[in-house]
Amino acid sequence: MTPSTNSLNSTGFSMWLAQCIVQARFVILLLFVFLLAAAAFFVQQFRIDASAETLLVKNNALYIKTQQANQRFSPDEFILVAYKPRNGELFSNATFADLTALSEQYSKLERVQSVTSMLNVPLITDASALTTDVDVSALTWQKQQYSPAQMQQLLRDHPIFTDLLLNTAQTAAAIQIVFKPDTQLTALESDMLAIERHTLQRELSAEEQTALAELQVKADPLRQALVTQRQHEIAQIEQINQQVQQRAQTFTGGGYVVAQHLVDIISSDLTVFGSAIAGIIALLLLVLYRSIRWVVFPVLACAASVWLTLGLFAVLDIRATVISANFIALQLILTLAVMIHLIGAYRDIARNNATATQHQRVAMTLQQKLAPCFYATVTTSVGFGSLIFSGIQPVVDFGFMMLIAMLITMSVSLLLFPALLSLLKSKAETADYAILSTSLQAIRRLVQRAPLRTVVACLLLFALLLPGLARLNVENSFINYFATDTQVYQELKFIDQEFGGSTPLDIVITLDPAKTKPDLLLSAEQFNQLHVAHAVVAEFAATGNVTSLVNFTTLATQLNDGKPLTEYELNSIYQLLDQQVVNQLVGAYLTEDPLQVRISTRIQDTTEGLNRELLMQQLNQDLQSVGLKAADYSLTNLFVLYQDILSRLFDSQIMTLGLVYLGMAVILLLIFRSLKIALIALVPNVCTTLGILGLIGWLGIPLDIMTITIAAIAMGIAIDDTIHFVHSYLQAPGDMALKNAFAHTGMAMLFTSVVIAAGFAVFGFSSFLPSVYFGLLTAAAMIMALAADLTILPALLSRFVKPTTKAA
Amino acid sequence: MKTATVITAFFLFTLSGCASKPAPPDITTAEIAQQATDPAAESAAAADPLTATEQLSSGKTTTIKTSQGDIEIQPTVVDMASRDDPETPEDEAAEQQYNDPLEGWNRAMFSFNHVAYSYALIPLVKGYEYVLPDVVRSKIGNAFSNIREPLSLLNNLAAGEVKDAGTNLGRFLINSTVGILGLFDPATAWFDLPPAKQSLADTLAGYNVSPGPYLVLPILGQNNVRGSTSVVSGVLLDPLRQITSPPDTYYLQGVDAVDTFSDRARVYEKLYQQADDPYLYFRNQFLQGVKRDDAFNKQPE
Repeated sequence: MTPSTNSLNSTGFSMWLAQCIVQARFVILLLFVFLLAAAAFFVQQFRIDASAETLLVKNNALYIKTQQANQRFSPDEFILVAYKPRNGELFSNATFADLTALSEQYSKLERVQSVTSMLNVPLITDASALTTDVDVSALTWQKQQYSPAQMQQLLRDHPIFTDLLLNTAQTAAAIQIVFKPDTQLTALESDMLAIERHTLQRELSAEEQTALAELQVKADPLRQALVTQRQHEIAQIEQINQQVQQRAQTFTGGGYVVAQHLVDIISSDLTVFGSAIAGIIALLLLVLYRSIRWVVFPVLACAASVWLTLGLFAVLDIRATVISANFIALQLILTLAVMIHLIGAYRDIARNNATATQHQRVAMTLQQKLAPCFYATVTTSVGFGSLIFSGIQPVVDFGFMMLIAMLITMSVSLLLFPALLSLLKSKAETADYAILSTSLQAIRRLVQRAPLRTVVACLLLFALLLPGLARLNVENSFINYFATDTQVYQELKFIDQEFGGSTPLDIVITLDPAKTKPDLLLSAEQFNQLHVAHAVVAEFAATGNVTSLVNFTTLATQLNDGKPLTEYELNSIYQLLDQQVVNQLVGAYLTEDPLQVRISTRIQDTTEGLNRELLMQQLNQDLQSVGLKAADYSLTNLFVLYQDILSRLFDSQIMTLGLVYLGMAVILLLIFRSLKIALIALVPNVCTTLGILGLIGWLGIPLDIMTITIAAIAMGIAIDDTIHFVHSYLQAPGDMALKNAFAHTGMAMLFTSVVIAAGFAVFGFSSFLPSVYFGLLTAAAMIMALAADLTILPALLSRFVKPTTKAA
Repeated sequence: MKTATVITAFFLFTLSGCASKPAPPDITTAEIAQQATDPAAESAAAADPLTATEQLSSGKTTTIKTSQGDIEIQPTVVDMASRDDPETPEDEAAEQQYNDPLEGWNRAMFSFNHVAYSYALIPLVKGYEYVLPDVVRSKIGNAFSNIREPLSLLNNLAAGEVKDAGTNLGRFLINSTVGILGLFDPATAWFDLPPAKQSLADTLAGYNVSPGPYLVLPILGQNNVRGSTSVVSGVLLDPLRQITSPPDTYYLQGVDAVDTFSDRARVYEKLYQQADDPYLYFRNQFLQGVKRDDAFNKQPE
């Protein structure tokens, strides 16, 4: 059935459809049993992909440039473990013994390539070590057994190791665990990039797309295996760290450690909150309906729709990401919302027609509710569907997932649920709580007596929230995704503040080839172009550790009694160093053909008052003021990619919300065939969405890729109640209309809103802050929507719409 | 024994010198004559101030203005080119930077030396390294450094560096006795008396004697005229001559030379191979180093 062939008034069609469903109940049941069984085969293949990658917008120039830079400079994958002695004495034999023991155990892990700490890095006291045949690798604590005092002196304000292997205050040391790259995966990724880079200039051809898809298929199991492996490694590392807990605190950090924590949190959220919400729903159903059948059947139907969705996602290889991990809870709640309306209508019919058979009751329920329920799910789908136009890939994916989930919800609640219902024996239904129905009627009387005043009063209340809109901001980071009292947050914050920041930012500079001198790798002028850029980057308060070739030359200058290197000496050192050492030390910062240098920094996300947009702007401005043209350098890596997303959030928010308003208006127009009614039905929902955004602003919660979905989703869900209410209002004769609507639909609205709000509120217990905000704010949106639907909507309806002859 | 300024130790002789002035006018080469007629040299225009990059390259500390305030940057890599007159054409600037009027002689000597190094000195050094283990070689190096301590003492005295001269004396006494004829270096390890090496060239540089043109000596390698005085005086005043008599002196001087060269043989070979024009590479590296040392040694610490 499609909107064009049906409207609320075509009761004949609804009746026919209702009869069909009741008669075909066994076919439907059989079909679903088959589908559920089929889903069971696939559910195990369902995957969660919480890598940081899933939070990024791919296929755009910034992403591809970042990938290219990573490929050219191939920086190491590493984990940092910070070691902070409890007695405060970093330079002591006890510390050295611990670091040695820890390093030794880490290096036994399978994928570990090397383990670096202050104990095994060369600590050079004079520059001769760089230029003569002296074996630099012998100048380490391990070989020389420097005393604690010597170590302290050697490492004070070290140009390379401070902020990396020990903090500036010299209170903690870090062990850098470097992992071997997976050569097979690296090769595949470089093949993929070779194709993807064409998208910078043109669309990919069909062959290229197939080739890319094939490579993806090959790379995927390797990536999956890597994620599992990393998870295992982190667990092992943390276990190893336990041994020194008595003497020191340890903190584990580094790029993908965060991602792994996210996977853990999300997997546990998925199951914990999925089942918690199922439990709460069951409990609420029991309390509201006081009947086992109204617990068992809705819960069964909810479980069936989630099961089918999981199966379908597995088949289509759609994965839950950080953003979409809530889909199970969302789907449970949404399926239930539809069913509560069905149950409400059924109970109503059962009470009024005590003699009717079960089949008649079900058919009557369906006839009455099929259309509004269908439209309600369609509007919810539109809410999610609008996310597809957000322009932010993870949000787009989330929109698609929920669209699919809504289709399943629709078929389960409108086909499977009535089919199940028709198998039941008919029996008398309990009455609804009197107190609830009387308070609803009290509201109705108030609204009916003074419709305009109610509208104005409610609008004023919402208007109070609106100034919050101006306070919306988009400052956010990975660290802020975790509640401040969690261990993850504490560890990340420590690494962020003491060991040079969190979110990587790279500045890749293409050096002026005109300044190249024969025989020299880098001329002084080329090098100094890098040096001034390095100085610019390092000057920002928010840039933590800044590393480039400059750190090496600064060290050489220090060792050389403050005398700089000449350009020839620099070249000679480069030529004389062992090739392996070159790759290790310099490879990540310098490439030839074209001659490019890289400045690598990490942004300290916990910097007070950090304004990322301003930072990017000032950085660009400063780099250009020291003589770099915009074409000479590019800013890449995660910081830029996140910032790109953040900068799109406002646009996305406006885009998705605008689309939702437009989509809803069209659907309301189709349903009610009246511009006036459609506009009236929009008012409470527009109030709710703007109100919730205002609330987000007032509370100072940053917009991020999760919170921008709230308004659109809330609208999609909340408008269901509006549709049910208006539908119910239009069904009854004029003078009875409002009373009828409150009596028949008001209760169901109250129930759905309470159930949905309670369900979402459970997310408040997550330790993943976006989930917390998402849950609590959507719950708040539901309550707001309920309030608007019970006040503004009836007031406007009774003032402007008189359903006179509709009840034919 | 390596010194703290060993960046320049790539070279066969690391002797510091003064900033080189433009080529003495009495030596005229074809290139210079050509440049004198270059019309670009005459044209004068308002000079742009040097960019931060150029200042750093010339070895000057620079300050840049950024949104985060002014930042002072110390140079870490320099070419020591003089950029004071932006109107000077590039090749003339290079000419001034690399003062090499004796290029014909120097290139010939450089080729000769290369043959000598490749077929005589380097095989000798490799044999020496093969026969004597690393530890022993380092002790021998210590001993020869110790013997040269009195020479540094004299030069320090001549330069008026009395404190450093005292250090030389102390080191010599301690290392010759406690350090068993200089095989060990207890002066540095136990008495905190680091080397205070001073050559005649350093002393001359201290008296603002200009380094003179680039000069490649047979076998002894590259230098400038001022630096060559140290080489000659080093041989003539070699304390070895005072404590031994020929032919033992020559044997010992030979071992000294091989020992000194052993550190640098690999360096020489490798750098020679990677350069397109090794002569220019070694020359420019040497001359930039001299200029740099001159500019930075004079700076107050």
